Amino acid sequence: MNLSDWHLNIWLHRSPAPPAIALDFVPQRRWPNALGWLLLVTGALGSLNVVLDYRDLGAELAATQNRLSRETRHLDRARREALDKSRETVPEAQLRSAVELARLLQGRNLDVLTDLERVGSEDIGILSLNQSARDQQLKLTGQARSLKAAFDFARALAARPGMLDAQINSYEFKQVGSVEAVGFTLNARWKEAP
Amino acid sequence: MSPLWRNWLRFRAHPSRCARLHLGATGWRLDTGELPHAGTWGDLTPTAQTLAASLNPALGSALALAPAPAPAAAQCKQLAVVLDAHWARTQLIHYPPALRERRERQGYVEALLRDTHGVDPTHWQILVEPCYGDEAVFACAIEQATLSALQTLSQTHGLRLISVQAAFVACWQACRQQVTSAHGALAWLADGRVSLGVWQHSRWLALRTQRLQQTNAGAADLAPLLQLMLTSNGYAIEGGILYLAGEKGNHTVSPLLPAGWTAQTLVMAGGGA
Repeated sequence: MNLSDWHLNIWLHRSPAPPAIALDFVPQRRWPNALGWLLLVTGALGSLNVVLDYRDLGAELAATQNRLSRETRHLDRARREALDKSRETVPEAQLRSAVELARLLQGRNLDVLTDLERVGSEDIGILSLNQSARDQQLKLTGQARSLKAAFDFARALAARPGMLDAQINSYEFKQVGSVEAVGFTLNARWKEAP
Repeated sequence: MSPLWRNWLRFRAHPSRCARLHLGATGWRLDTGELPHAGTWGDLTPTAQTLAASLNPALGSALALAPAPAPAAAQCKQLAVVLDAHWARTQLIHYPPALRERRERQGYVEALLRDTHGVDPTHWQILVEPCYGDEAVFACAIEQATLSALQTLSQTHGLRLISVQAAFVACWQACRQQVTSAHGALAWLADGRVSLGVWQHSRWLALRTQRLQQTNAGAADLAPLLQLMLTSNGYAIEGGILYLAGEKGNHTVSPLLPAGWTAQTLVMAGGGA
């Protein structure tokens, strides 16, 4: 009987005797069979594959995070630079209007209004105001309780430091209800800002 | 397990490195691969508690004196022990079909061994084969003290205890390859007792251990017992082979055997028959 026949006999021959009795009070060490070894090797290879994949993915994750942080830094820097540049390069029209506004604000217009507010009193009511910044001229229509109050108002306005003169052009007496009032018009000119 | 590995495991216990100790009721035999050394306790039958102390010096001297001319004892690193019916009880279990739970079956085995052999589950170690379907399974029981004594004995002599088996089980393991009949019986004879197991259709049917009437037992003495077991256990085959093994294994075919039965002596590798 050659080896292959012997193997065939081992694998295919079924002994007519009852099976072996597996009773031993000393535990027998059972050697794993081929299927067990196959499962073990398969599991080990699978585990190795998972470990390698995990390591590769970890390295890839670290590289991606580095790239992300680098890109984030670049993006922040680019944003800051763009913002700085946009701050530096104001549009020409906006700049012109801003300069004009600044020039206007730097003029005496606001100062004139402030002067009017300061010299005004309870006896004076301002009905209309026409201010011309180009001519540094102010036309004012108002009412006063008395003619004296109207002229006092004109003198006080003319006495302000930024004013050249203030004159009452015309006046008239009016009867408002039971009270007599004086309507007047006033022209004033102010000094040009240095 | 594949048959190849099973064969490899079978020869794992190398004969020249494994001492085989056979413990009977009135004596013991040690096979070290060269010459068997037999000793006897005479009329005093040791108990499990005195086993190690009784056997220790004798076993030591046997291990030291056994090999000739090659120092085989020096090569003995393993010890396999075969226990006769005095030390180990063997029982064939047919579970009732209603018993399915593992705990129920364990209780059934313990009750059966207690009623049949007087086994106390608290002091005896019981081994039961795994059960597949409705197949009959074997159960073995030895005293815990016996196992401890054997372990002590092996450690004392620097041997590794690789196997402790009941004699009938060990005989079947050793002689199963010689059994060619699907219907037959195996009789293990030792210490004036016989363990007779009957099978049909390659399935175990019954096992019975009892004391023989005559110490010089032959096949003829087994005929009534065999006939009793065949009739009481529903053996439905005409004829069979009675395999004989053990101390009185040199039997001839007896005309008193049941009709159609023949006797055949098995040769044990350990030198039993």
